[in-house]
Amino acid sequence: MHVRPIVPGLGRGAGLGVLLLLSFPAVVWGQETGAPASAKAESGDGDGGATTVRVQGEKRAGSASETVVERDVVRAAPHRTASDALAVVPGVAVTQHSGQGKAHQIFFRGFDASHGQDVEIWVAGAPVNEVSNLHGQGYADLHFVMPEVIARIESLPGTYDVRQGDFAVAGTLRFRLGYDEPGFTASGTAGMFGERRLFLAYAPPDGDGETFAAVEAQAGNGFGESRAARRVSAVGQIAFDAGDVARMRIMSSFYAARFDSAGVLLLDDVRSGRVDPFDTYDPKQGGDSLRAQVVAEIQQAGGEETRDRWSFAPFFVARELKLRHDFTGYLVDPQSGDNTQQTNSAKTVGTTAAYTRRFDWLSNRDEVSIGLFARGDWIDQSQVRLSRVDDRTTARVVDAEIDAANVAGWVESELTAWNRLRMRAGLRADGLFYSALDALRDDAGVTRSSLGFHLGPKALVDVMAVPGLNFLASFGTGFRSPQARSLADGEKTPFTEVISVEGGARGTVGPELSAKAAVFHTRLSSDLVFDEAVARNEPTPPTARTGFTLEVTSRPVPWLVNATSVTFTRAVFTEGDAERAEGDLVPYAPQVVARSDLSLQPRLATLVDRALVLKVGTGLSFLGARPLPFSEIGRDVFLVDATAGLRWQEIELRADVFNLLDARWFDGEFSYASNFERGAAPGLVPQTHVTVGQPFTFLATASVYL
Amino acid sequence: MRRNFLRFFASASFGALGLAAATGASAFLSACATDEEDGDTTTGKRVTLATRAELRSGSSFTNAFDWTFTLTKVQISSGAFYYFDGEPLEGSAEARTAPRSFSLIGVAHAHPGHYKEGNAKGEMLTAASYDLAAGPADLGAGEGVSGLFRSARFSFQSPAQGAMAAEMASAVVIVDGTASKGGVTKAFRLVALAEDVVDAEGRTQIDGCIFDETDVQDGGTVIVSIDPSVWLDQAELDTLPDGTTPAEVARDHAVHLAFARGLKKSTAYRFSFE
Repeated sequence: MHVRPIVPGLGRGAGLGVLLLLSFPAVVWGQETGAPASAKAESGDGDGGATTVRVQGEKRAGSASETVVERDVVRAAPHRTASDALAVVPGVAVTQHSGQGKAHQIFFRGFDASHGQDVEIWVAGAPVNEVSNLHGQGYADLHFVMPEVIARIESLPGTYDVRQGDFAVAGTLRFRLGYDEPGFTASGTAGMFGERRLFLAYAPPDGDGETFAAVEAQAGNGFGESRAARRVSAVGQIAFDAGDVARMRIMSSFYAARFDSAGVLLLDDVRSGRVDPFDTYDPKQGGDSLRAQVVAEIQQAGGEETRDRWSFAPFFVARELKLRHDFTGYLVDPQSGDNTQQTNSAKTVGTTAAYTRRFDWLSNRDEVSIGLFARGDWIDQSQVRLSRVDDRTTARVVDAEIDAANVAGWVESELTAWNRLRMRAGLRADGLFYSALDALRDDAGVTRSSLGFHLGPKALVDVMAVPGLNFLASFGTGFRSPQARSLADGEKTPFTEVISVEGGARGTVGPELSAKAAVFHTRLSSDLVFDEAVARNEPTPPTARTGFTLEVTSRPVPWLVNATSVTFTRAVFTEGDAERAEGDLVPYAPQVVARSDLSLQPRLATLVDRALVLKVGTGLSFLGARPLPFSEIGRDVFLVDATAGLRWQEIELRADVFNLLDARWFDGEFSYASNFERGAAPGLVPQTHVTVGQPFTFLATASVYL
Repeated sequence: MRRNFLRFFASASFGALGLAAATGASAFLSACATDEEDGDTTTGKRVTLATRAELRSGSSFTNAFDWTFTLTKVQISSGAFYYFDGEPLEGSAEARTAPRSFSLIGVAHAHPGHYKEGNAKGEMLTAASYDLAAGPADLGAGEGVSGLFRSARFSFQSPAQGAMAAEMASAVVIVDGTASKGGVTKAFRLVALAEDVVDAEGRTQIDGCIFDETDVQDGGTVIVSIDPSVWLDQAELDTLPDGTTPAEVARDHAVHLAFARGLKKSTAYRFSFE
């Protein structure tokens, strides 16, 4: 199958070329984002305002490709959700195939992480991945985070950090929240497809950006049938010093959403014109989602000079999710249809704690750290099949209660010799317990429990060749927990073992330019890959991923920032089985992911003692060479998002455009059997199903800052 | 100002070199990454499968009761065919190798419920009607994925669609012919309806048919060989009236019942690939 461009006249190479060409002018010396050893990170906007996000006791980089995406890069291009914003992280691509409310599908360094099974995600100190979620292991829904309150995204690819736990297979992404606009903010957005949004926020004028409160209400009809969505969310965070000893941070958020979903279409139907690309086979798809969380963090006050640092951060998360989907039509139930409803309710309580002591041995920066992580989950879940005609239940598939606990401890030591050689070694021990009771199994009434351990060593060597240029080599092992319902009584929790190695360089040229380059290799003892025969993720033989990543970030002048990255990953099965051969590519994750974010915010003039600032930004995404089952290659995707606006101190008018080139693209492609024609002979051979990506969309926003 | 411009252009050159290297490497590896000719792809591939139906044993044969049949019409209304990687019925496999002429005892056919079809490897979904006594019939194109084909599902279609739809109406099989034994000749017309071939779940399909084991790697033709001798193997025609003019056999007649039982035997439908 030939690669076909989704933008007429624009091939794979051309798309990538355009992306890089457009980013070219901004590639100038700039300041490295997220300087790892800094005690605080600053970010400013074009009108000269600057805020500070305190990042006390931050670790130095654990790998060549570890990165921090700062607020100015996150905001360069428009984003409608925090999941959208993940696209700015090198190596990450996100798609949304089932409505604005269902967790995005995340691709990270050759992993199809589905809804989060391979990416550990934290927001403001609370875990987002849901243990044994019925819809998908590690389900991570980020819709509760407003893009405006993302202070930074920390990306830890691989498994090199002792703080990385379950689901950190491809890596870990951590959101820190903050709002840098002092005073009161009110923004109203309206645009195509009935999109409306109200955003209100407040941050103390004398604050540091960590203390804020924000509320969002959004509604839209969507760009086609069955795509309407509504959500409301609120987040508040307060940070303050408790005397000279400790600093407190308390964060709480609440989120609720209801959304429709168009589901999938057969690619053949789309190609032949039998269905409109924006139509749906089954309008009874969608769901609702609810999340409430509280995080309270207390940590040692003081900066880098402090020899003893400690932190303690308990969290509580309550989650409700209901999904109704129809991926197969009338394949399973030829009469009533396969419309399926899943519910997953979870309460999560846990804590993180760490203590670091600095000592003088090889240098005055040597330190040893110990920490713990504990998390308990109490989960109720159900799955029923519903009639497409009258919504009656035609089959009960799952009715389960799950208790899960993950307790981990870690120790880590870091030594620095001759101011040039930094060595880090660590060990993390995890114990995971599961108890499952499924009322619809043959052994209904029997509680199955299991407990297993995992030991994960980590190591890093960092050599500074010359000031501003470091070479790093990293090693680490990690794991992915299994679905609790799949475990037998007494089973020793068969983890997926992950081994990662990486080598590369990090360089800075002055404060304006930073660059990172790394080659990496990750091996999994077993994997989870979407199986076209059963239309869900199924265990597969071991896999390996090998690739490289390049990232350049520049801030040549205070009003211009550009971040560009290219990541290539080749994922293969390292053993064969009845279904696949050794060396076959792992399907679904794009092999090439490139992203460029550019923001220009020059001050144009001063009118009535108020600065007039132009705000222009673009975000270019390229996803290429996506292997699909049966030796097929998915269509390359090249998307351009752009924003342009004017801010006159208290007033801002902005236009956001998503998919500026109006590329017709598929944000989801899956192979499996289906039958969407009632009464017809069902097709049992896997067919390609697609979900159509967002077309050209224009939104206008007016904001007032008081 | 001038210094800023110099920095801008100098750093732009530096960045361009880096990005050019990244672009070149990415584009090169991207192009190499999915080169089918190098076998660097995901597992398997899709194949197109033409479909042809034909008679396996011809239109003349002798059954277990020594009646020698000559068929003048073998009209079939078929539905979808499916091909699987699961093993066909073991009993069927043994039965097909047994010399028919050495035994008057009918072939033992395992119940389809014992059959595990495995993964679907191919299908032909187009309903058609045809007369195999007139020669082989090309049916619709099917599709599949590469891999081992070992068993198949044959299905009947009612009402009939395609070339013989008007003539067959709701019938799934119509057989006209004569049978001779000891100087006696019987002429008959057997008409099977959907209700004659339904399984325990009300489906007009025959599971567990043999697909001559083939590792399909490219497109080709699936041949459905239909054997009316299996349909009529247990038909004792003594009670039919003599004559050479075909008369439709009543549906409750022992001959029709034996014929209907024969229609449900998976050994009557054998699939192969070429």
